Amino acid sequence: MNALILESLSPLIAIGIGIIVLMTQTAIRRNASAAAGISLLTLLSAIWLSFNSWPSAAIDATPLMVVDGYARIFTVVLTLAALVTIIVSREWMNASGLEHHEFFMLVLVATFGATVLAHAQHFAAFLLGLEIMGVAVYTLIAYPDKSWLPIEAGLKYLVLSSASTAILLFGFALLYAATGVLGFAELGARIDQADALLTSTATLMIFTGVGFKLSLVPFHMWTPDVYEGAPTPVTGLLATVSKVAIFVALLRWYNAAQLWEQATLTEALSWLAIASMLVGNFLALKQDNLKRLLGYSSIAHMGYLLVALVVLGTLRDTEIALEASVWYLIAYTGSTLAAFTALAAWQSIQGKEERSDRESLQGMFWRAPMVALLMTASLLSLAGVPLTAGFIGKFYVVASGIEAGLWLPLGALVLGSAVSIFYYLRVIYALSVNTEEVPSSIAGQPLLTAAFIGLLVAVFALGVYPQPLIQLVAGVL
Amino acid sequence: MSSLIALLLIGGGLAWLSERLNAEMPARVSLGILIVASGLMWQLSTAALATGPDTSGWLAFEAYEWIPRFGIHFVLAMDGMSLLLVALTLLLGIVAVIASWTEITSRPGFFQANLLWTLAGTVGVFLAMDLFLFFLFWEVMLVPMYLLIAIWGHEARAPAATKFFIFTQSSGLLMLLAILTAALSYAEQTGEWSFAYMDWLQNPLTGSAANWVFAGFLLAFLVKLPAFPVHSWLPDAHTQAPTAGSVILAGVLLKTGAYGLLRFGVALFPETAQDHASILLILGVVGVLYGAVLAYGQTDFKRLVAYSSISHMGFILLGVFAWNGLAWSGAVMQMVAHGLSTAALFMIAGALQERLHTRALSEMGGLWQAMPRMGAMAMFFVIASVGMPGLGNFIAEFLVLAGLWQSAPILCAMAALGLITGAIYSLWMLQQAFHGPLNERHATLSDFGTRDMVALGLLAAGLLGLGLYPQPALDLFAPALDGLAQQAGGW
Repeated sequence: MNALILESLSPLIAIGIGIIVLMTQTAIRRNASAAAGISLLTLLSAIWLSFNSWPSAAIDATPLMVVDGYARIFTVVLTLAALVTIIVSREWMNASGLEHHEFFMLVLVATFGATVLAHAQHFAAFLLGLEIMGVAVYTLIAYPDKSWLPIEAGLKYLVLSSASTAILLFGFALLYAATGVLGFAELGARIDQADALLTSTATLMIFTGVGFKLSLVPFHMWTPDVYEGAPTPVTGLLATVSKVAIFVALLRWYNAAQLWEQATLTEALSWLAIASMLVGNFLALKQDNLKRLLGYSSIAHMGYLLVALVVLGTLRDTEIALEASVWYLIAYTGSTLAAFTALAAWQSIQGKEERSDRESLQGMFWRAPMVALLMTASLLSLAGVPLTAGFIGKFYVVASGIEAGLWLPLGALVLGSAVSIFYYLRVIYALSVNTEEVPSSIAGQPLLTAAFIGLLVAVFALGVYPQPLIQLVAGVL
Repeated sequence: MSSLIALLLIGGGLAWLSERLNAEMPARVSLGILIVASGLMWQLSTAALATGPDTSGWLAFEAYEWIPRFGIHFVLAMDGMSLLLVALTLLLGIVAVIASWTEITSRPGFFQANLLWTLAGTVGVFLAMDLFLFFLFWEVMLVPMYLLIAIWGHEARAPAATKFFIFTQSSGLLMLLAILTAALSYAEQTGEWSFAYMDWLQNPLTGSAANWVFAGFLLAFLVKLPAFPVHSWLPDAHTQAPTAGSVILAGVLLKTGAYGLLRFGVALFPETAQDHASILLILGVVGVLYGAVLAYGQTDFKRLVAYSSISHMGFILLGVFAWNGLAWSGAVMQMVAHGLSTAALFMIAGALQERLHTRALSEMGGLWQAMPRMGAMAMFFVIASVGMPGLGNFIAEFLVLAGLWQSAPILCAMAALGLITGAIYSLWMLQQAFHGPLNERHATLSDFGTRDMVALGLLAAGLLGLGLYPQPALDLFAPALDGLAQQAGGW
């Protein structure tokens, strides 16, 4: 462990230190504002350290983790998402009258797990990151609000998540039995000589486990319930940080272990993608509750992402599929987070019980224009309308899909997108319905306003002028 | 040209902000912006026409690097055809603002903002010569238009707005697929990504891929036009939209489909397009007759005008795929003439609704006595849309039919029936609304004021000009069509 490695891991170390400080602070003097402040500082310093020690080449920091540009990009993305979550949940707590000191520490723990996943190059690190993140998220879902719905959601997520982790572990064990190694790259080197039946069973089991966490069809049943039950800022965290981190690790494994050698896997993934896109979008049509709707739409978005993975499997070593996945992940994080942030801010403005049905959103355009603007931008971005980040993401996925000639998944993508426009528009329409009520705004909450502007700029800037990020992404792959 | 688009985009923001001063400001700001934009356009086009086209035939040309990863450039270029259509867009923009002057009372700022943004998108569509940019503007004009219908529309606005958006957006997605396929095959041929129209012209797509790509483009354009059988969004959207929205929708948004057919459908896929011309001609004739028959069955003033649009736009489809210079100039002429006459009719429909609070023809009757100015204007534009010689629509439809006669005489004879049916439903509408005994309740309605008369007068002058002395307009876009003919390999 030399200085270079320490420096390269500094963002992770910073988050770790932040967690310890928070634990101590909670023990000595309980104060939610201080806790929020410390976590913000921690995350900001982690971002600063990430840029400060940007690796020019991949650094093997222990056999478990690798620090490269890919990991760095996602460290920044995930940390930013956590930053926004903390700002929003502070306001949300103020409005709902709940005071939770441990909440911020748990968000940091989840972020820590997520960043570990972004660096993982070995199944041990994969599992550690997954579980650190998972345990924090179960608690975050169930504990801030002690009513029935969150507890039910937390329990549901806990049980299904544990079951899927068990399947995942079984897969790891089989892989180890077949090859004797657990590092991603070593696996790739040995997988040809191993028993094909054993390795493909293991791969499928791992994908099943991951499929639960990413809520791919047919492992998606928990998604709408958990999304609805969790406190809104936590749903945002669950929808972005936890899913993105897992996909990031999955992508690294897929690429390093050259899983495209397994043709059946590619085939299976393409069907998973088609099913996710169709089922997610069609079921979202029937939703009246925005959180459930976003739950189903996230199923569809994971399907779109999977198309990029199938392209990688079909074309093998190719830049465009990797770029497409990375772009889509970033765009998805920005837009989904923006949607939940706007919803949480709206709920704080409403002040009353936590409602997210369409009727409760009416009149947002006139009562809180800034919130409505962010909500509209995020929904348009999720729908893939040009000038938003989501469009460039979809553009990338479609471009890569055409290059690989995947006409069936692309057909499902176009059909799904066409359907999705309908339900996103219905929400936007609800925002515009005229209600004569007193206007209210988020003015006077500088941090929240900053988060809003940041998200808005991200959604539009990435859509209007994507070249800088494209270059950055292409540079690290 | 980019400053023109930027002016409209920023102007939208300004109009929105000006709402804070007072409720009348947004319309004034918006009108001011459009007049400045028209001045800019005037200066741009006179300068461009004075110097003449450059070597590749463009009157004005601008290009900047944008997304080098995919070889995407920000390319705007203008030839005679685009010039005419941009001018039409700005003129109808002014008319739309005037039409909304008293109609829109709630949130006028956001209304004018959306109006200007729609216009910005439309101008962009007419000028963009990079297919990525074109697609972007194509979609960008939709969102504000959707909001215009969804927020300020009439009683059944929600389903109408949604239907409009879904039809255009999902066909747009297929077009995106087509654009990407074409770009990829270009990349495979040349080793470099490019979305530029000029590059694609030099490496035309061939084989079965061309069929599919053409189909993607075609569907998007036919939905927008709209052609039978993908027209069903149009009557709802037009009827439910606020007056200004209908004016823009019928006047210029439909023309983007027609423009796309000529600029991209014909020029990029000449062989494929020609192979399928007969089917498309039949669709055109069906559109002309079917639209006319349905229009005759309407009891709603605005809906009747909407269906008549389907019929008139059928002539554009016929003109494009009759595949000769005469018919093409007829099609371009029809874009402009139909834009002017329908915009005026929708403005009159809106004025009626504002005064009577209904669009039902059965509630009207004898209105000429109460509002002679409106009656005279309605008569002028109804006669124009019927195709009276001496007005623009006659020249347009005559040219289309003359061109079509050379390539498909039987279809031409059938399409000519559309002129007769058109006369029937239009005159019937005029008779029901403005003639006959006056309902006493309507005796005190206020007639058109100066502002409205100026707006309609501009449109009427345009139609008269095109009808009596069409040659300057024909000369303006003739080079563009000649270029197209070269691309298409002559006729």
